[in-house]
Amino acid sequence: MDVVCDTLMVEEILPRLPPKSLVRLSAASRRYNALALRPDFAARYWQRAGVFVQPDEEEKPKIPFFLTVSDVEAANLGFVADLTFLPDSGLVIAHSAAGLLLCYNYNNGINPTHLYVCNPVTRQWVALPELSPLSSSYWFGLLTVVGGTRFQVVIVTWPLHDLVVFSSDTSLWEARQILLPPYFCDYYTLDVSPVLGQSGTSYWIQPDEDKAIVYNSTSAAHNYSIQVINLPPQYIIGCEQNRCLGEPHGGGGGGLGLRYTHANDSVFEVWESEVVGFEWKQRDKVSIAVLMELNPEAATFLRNGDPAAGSSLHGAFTPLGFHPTDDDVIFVALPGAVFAYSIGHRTLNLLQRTHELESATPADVFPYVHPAYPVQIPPVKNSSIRQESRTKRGSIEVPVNEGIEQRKRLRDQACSQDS
Amino acid sequence: FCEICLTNNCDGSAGKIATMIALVSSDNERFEVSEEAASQSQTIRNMIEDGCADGGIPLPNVTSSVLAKVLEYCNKHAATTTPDAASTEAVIGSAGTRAVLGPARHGPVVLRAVPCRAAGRRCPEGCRLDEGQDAGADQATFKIENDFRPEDVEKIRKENAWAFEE
Repeated sequence: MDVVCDTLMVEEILPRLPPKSLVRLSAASRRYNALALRPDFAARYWQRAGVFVQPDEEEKPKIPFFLTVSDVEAANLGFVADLTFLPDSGLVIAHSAAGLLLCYNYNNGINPTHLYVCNPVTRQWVALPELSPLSSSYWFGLLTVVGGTRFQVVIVTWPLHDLVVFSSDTSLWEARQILLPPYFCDYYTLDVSPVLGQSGTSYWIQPDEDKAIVYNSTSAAHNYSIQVINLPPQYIIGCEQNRCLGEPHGGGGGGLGLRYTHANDSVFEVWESEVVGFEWKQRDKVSIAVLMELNPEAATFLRNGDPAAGSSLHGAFTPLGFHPTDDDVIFVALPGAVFAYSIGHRTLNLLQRTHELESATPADVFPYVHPAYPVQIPPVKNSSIRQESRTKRGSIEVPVNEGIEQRKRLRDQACSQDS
Repeated sequence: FCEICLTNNCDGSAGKIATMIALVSSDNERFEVSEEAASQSQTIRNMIEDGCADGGIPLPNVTSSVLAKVLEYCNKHAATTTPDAASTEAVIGSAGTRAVLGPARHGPVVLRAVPCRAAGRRCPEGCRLDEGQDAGADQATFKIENDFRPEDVEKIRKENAWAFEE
């Protein structure tokens, strides 16, 4: 009798429960706890691996896509890029790390004021204190979770490289600056959208050069310093290339290797290095023509559905990002569709037909991994920012180039506001 | 693909020799149904395939009045190849059940398994009972005894504080 009930529970009832209810049920008795912790059930209910793609907004914020190994797997997931549980509408993804997302309100291109850290699987969210206007309208955010007990959000404005840093154990935004070596800007540019890794690292691929600039927001040693790394040689200089960087599975923090891919009209290469930027080894190389012969469905998209069109459209084959846990899979955009490419099988698996990702670049792609158990957002200490009610305390002014004294004063100010 | 029994092999072929399966309700009433009809529930079908169905399948969650209504629906549905989705005589859906959780505090938690219209693989959260449902339909009610020690419950609540807020 118990067998029937257990199976009924695990197959039919528990998967239908929302996350909070499921966790509460597991506290109700040992039996329910055991059911909820069963590896097969927990994997199906909580586990996710894939990438979010947040297409560029023009007038209004666009809904993100979640891409995973196949469209079948995607259909089986309990959520598909659904941010509607967040209190604001019009929120878009800025970064992803450790099973959590950093989201912000897209304000028609004006600086964002409200940022959130959330877990799209458990639907838990935390609002960060309001952000004052940034020094530039170009910016990106990096979220990192340290030891499961605290998290940090770094907002980098560029090309001016000012930072505003939020830490969950101070509950404040503080200003910093990236220290650049002298003459840096004469040789390198930060004026391109960087690819963001889960390790809290940003990578600016230098146009027309086989180099990338790397900035790790968690490196305490050099006070947020910047590195230059070498990339594998471009196949044909001057020919339009679509280049992409990614961190390998388990790549938490710089120094654990990197993955790189580029594609132009004729060839598609994948490279890997075990130490960031050194000793790139070519993992795969395939000609686009051969790939299209092996994958006729993809070929129709490359010719834009016109069999009479001669060669492929220029620059149309765009590697978007690497699958975060399955290093055989790379996500590729073609006109009108997005695919999962398997390096081992040389197959292009159609994931979705859409035109929304046509202008997407690797900078719009956020690898996302959620384990087989619920990930909790580290609590924000001393927080007047409750989950349910966002009290308007006015923005905390954070001027650029402030000294330590001023930072102390702000902290005292915030504390007295709390009491 | 059949939207109502959620299988690809919904096969209402008449003239097939029907194998009968016995379903036993919580008040020990036996209902003989055709294997086809009973197989509309994935769980029951698994049991049949695993050979566990001899002697009848006990359904301690379901009273005889509820089971009777469910079987009426399943029988009607198993016999037809094109289910009439708009049929108002379909009172209760087939395999779909929805668990309704009472607030979890220390002590017993009430879990109601309510038969609801099978609305696809994931039942929408706000799924309401079918309008056609008999107002007097029984609900199977469970009382769950909390066999955790208080400190164990506390541990779970702490580890997942987000789920116990509000």
